[in-house]
Amino acid sequence: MSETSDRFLLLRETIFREIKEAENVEKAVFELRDGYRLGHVTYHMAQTVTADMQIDAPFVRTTYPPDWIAIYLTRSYVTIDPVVKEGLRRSLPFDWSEIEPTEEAMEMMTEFQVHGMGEYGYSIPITDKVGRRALLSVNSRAGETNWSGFVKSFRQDWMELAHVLHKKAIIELFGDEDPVPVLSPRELEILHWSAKGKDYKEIALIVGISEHTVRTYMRSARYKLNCSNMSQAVAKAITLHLIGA
Amino acid sequence: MFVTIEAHEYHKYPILMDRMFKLRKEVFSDQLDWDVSVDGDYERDIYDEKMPAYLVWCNDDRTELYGSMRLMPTTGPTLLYDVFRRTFPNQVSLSAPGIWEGTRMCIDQEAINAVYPSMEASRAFSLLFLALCECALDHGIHTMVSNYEPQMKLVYRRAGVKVQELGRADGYGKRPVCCGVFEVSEPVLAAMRTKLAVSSTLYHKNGVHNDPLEVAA
Repeated sequence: MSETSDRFLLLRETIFREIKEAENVEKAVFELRDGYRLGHVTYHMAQTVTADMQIDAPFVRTTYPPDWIAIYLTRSYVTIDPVVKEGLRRSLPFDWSEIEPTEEAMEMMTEFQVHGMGEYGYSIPITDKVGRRALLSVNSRAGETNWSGFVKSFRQDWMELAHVLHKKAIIELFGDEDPVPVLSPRELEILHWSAKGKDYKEIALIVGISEHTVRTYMRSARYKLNCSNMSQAVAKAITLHLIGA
Repeated sequence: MFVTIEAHEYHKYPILMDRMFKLRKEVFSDQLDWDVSVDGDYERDIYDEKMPAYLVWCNDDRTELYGSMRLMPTTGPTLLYDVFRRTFPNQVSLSAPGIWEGTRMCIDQEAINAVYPSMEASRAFSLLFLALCECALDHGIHTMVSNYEPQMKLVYRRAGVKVQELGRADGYGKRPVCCGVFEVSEPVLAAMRTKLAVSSTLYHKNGVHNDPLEVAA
């Protein structure tokens, strides 16, 4: 693994932990912003969304300054904000440059830049198992010169972190802790061998599947256990008595 | 051209959407005899209600459909989990942000041959798959989980696709249905481009562009 990807990995794991340990979602969006040196970070969760229905009373946490939030609220920008309107209906991540704004949205976007907000943005739609929709949006600092390169480097990590934030928001909103996750026998098997100190290559040989497939099972196990890396996933699986010590 | 159509823009492409659901009925119900939910000339199921993304292959005017497939994140409800969990629960419970599900992959051979007369089905499927890899990679997706017909395995291998079969199930149609994990990465993309002799990017996010198949076909 190259030095750069090592650095990115460490950064993702650090922010993952900071989001999880943050007092609430409000604080967590700031952790994400500062960790990646972004302009701003906003998380939206919709109560209900359908292809043609209006979005109702979304749960929003953002790093935007209070004066912009005030304008956004008093002018009901949430009803015309194309990022939110489209974002909660899309499922693939998108760059804000892909949006074709309406006239009223243009006015909002101009206002947005007048208030010193970076012009580039990227949004990651979130769908969870009960079909709930949410959206994580990040935007550039003023004067950003290599936005697309920046997004390319981190989009995969941001997608993962978007879900960490979403899990946190669900707990904050509905108060329920995650139940013990259901892991498949194969996922448990991978965790078991990992607990025995085997790396991906060795596990691939033992189980008789490709290394990429081993990684895929591990990613799935990690996501279900809400852990930032392999060793934490193994430790958590042991604590939950999903695998033996 | 290969483009995605998502829920906020379904209404912009009524002809393609209409044709896609008809094509799915022709392929999955009429030809493959799968037990899919058919409503008149259309095949549409509950997952189509969940605002999925569709990858479609169409002409530049977006009035003729050549092929399509449905993409859904495995963090949400997925068809493969619901349908296959009794047959091989081990494999289809895969769920993580960078793992997506591709289902209902199909092509319209007649429509394709009207524009690309000599193109065989295997090449058409391979090109659709190449566009899928480009699209996935462009969105930070590293793994696709998908179902396919057993004979597709050879087509995939010839196209440089890296697939690990997780299991196969009988009783869904004339032939068994396989479920596999596909690696999405720059090396896989490069291998596919070489094997298929396609040098340009097939998948396009926006706008009109030159048809790269004119050169590659």
